[in-house]
Amino acid sequence: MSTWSLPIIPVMNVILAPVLAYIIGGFYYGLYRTITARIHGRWGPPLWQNFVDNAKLFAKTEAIGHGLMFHLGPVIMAAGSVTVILFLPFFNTGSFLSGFSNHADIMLLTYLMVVGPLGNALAVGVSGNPFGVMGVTRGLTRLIGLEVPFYVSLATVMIATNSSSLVQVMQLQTTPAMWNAVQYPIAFVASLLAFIGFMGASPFDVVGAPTEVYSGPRVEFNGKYLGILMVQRIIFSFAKLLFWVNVFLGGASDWFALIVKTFSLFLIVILVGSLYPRFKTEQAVNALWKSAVILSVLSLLFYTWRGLLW
Amino acid sequence: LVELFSDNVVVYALGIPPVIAVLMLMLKGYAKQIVSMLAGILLLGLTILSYAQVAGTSGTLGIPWGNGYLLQFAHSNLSLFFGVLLWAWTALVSVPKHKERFHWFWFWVALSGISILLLAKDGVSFFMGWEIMTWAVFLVLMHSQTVQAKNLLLYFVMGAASGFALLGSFVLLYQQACSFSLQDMGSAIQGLSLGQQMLHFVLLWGAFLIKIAAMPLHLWLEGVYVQGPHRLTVFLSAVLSKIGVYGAIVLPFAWFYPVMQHWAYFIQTPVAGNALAWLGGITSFVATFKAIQQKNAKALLAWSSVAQLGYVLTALGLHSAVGLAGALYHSLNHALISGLLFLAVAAIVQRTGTDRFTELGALISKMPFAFMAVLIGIIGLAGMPPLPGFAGKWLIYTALLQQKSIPLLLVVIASSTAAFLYCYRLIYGIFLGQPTKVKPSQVQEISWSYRIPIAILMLALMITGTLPGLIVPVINDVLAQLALPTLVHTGATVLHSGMGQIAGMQVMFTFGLAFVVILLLFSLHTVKTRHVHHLDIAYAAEVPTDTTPLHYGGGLGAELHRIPLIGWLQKRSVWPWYLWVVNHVKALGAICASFYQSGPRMAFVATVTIVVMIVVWAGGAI
Repeated sequence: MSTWSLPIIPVMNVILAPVLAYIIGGFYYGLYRTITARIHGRWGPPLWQNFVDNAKLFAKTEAIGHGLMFHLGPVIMAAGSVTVILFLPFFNTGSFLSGFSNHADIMLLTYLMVVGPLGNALAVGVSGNPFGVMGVTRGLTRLIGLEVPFYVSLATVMIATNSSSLVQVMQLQTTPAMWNAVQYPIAFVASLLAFIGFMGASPFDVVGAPTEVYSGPRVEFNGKYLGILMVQRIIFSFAKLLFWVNVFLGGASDWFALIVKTFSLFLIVILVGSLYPRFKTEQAVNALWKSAVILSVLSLLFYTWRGLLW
Repeated sequence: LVELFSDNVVVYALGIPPVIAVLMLMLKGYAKQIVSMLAGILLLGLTILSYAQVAGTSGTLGIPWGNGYLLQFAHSNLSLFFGVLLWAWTALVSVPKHKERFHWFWFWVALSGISILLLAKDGVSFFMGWEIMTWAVFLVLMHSQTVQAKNLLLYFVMGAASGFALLGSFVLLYQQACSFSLQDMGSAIQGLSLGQQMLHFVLLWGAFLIKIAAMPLHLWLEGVYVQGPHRLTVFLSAVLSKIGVYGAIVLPFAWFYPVMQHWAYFIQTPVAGNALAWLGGITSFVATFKAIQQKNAKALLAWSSVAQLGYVLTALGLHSAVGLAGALYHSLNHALISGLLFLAVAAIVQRTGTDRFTELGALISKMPFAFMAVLIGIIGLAGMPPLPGFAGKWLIYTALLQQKSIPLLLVVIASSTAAFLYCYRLIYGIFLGQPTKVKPSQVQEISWSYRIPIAILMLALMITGTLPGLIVPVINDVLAQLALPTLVHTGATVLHSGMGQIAGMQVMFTFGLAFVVILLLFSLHTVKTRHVHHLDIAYAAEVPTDTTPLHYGGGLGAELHRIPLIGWLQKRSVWPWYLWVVNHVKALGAICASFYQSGPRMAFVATVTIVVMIVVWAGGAI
């Protein structure tokens, strides 16, 4: 028995991680809809509405396709999200749901996050729909803006801890006072700017704007294709929450801490997203670059004064 | 037998290429390509064999060159690293059957020059190799009859400038060292004054920056890459730009590395090194946005080559161990990736007659192999895991983090993120979207003679991506030669940078497994997919027709100019600056000419002034 139990636990972890991410993320998006509705003065759908929607998409009797690459694109996208979640540990102690995080490198994760969207870009490209490609172009342009404040914060953390290993960065944040968000508050603010963009919320949501580019990268997907993209989006959103919690908020030691920390971050996205109108793509990039430059200058001065970086 | 060959690799590497060059004059037709390919494979084999033999003085060669002067040749780890690249690419570019004017004799003369350059241990032979390479390539370009005179002239002038800078530095150093041996000249630099050291720094880096095509010395590149024969473009981008990197590492990097420790520092990097790193960063940033603007595939790839070598320059400029490792790693990656992409584009041009994004589109159905090749190429070019492009960039980012150079890291991150856009434009413009002028029904898959080298390169990229530690021993040998700390790697699968580690095989298998499992689950789903006509799309409730402009190839990324900084940069060019210099040199010439053209009085005044100045200056000196 003991010889068999060893591989079973890691295998279970690997299978469980995306499933749990989907369930938690699904309820988060349910809360997203409810809270947004209350801000608008509406009642809103029930919490499990996303699961119902998702099941409906998979139950459609027919799907419109545009060839093999169109079929593979959403699969690549989903595989990218699952890969990201498998490289992120759910908890900062023990091996439960830790996936392959022993080799997780922060820079590797930031790059793994764009592997999935490549699949979407290829699939919508092969469909021949110009709105989809326009959305992809806007998404890539926005990414140029997002990566800069993102790396202002990540570089600060990596230089300060002299490590780009996610596990090592997590292990150094033993108490709340040692959290990177507390130690490097300016860097954390910069990372939040990028975070709202990565979550696709206002004011950085022009990429998939339903009225302007006719839903952007997802325009041509329907039925089961839209279904798998919805699953993917929920898993991917939870992966991003987990990444931020692990890098800046010290990770979570138990389920309670995990839910509190990830949901607090998600709440920021909900609140900012329902308050702000959207930027045009070029305005978004410009605003992100300018704020990143100001924040990085501020943080360099601040950390130099405190002697944290050099 | 192995020892016999490998011990004498210097003799073979110097002797075989000129013989092949002469053979090229006698052979006809495809025989030239077969001989060229076989010779490339032979020399590649010899170079790999001699890896085991590199130690101390073994394999050195001296050739008498009049007045008792001895041209000295030997191989080092670094020269073998670039030698493998050179001969592998020689074999690869010899395979495709492509009807175009290509002068094989001068091509092999250029190869002989590069071989001399790689093995040279003294300044004279190094300079000879450099010049033979530059002029032979010029002659190949000229014989192709496709390159405009203006672009040829630009290549000629900048090649000459590079040669003169190199020669000037060598001659000045000879006065100090009384020897042309590269080692003696290198140590002579340490005895010079700071001003003289700076002069040599500028001359030597300038010479190689022209070949690397760092801004503002990149002007020659676009015309040559776009208009040159396809085979040569592949070779230029994959090998020749890397020879610039080789030269920069052997001469200025290695020579100034000990000296720099006495120069001014900013945080952790020497100021002069920082200047180079920033030059590389700005080059990659500007060139990336120029690449996004291009309307055809070859121009896009030409600008992307400028950008990618900008990263290499950034990494070299940091003058750190991880930086140099990153530069070497990225050079190797770029040699594989840009060569693969240029080959694929050449193969597509052979079939369709154009590389303009506005005339291509929707070719994926007819060219699935070419699509896969370009897909692998752009994943590498964008530096995405699990291909090796990521490992190279990751080492460069780590080097920047270790030097605590956050602003430069941001510039490099911004440009490598923007690179996704030109990568997507390349694959979308050719293979995706809607058909335009070139109808998919009228083309066929790229030819077999192109598919073979492309398949080899795809395989090489997959292997080096899965096993990122595979080439680390080679890089470590180079680092050890410069007495730098070496990289750690666990077998071939895990690469360490001192700050973190990446496990190539783990990433590859995790992604692959996730992909396969999800694909199986997704395909088990019983819902039928109905494949529809390419005009049957969700088009805002309208019905597009064949004449509706649906292909976005020409416009993709064009709206970037609305970002203020990018708009400002994309409108700029270094040409006005060069013209300003030219005009002022002309004006200075006119002033000088007026001394002897406006009659004897002016000449008399000038002569008297100069004599008086010399007397005053000499008096002061006494």
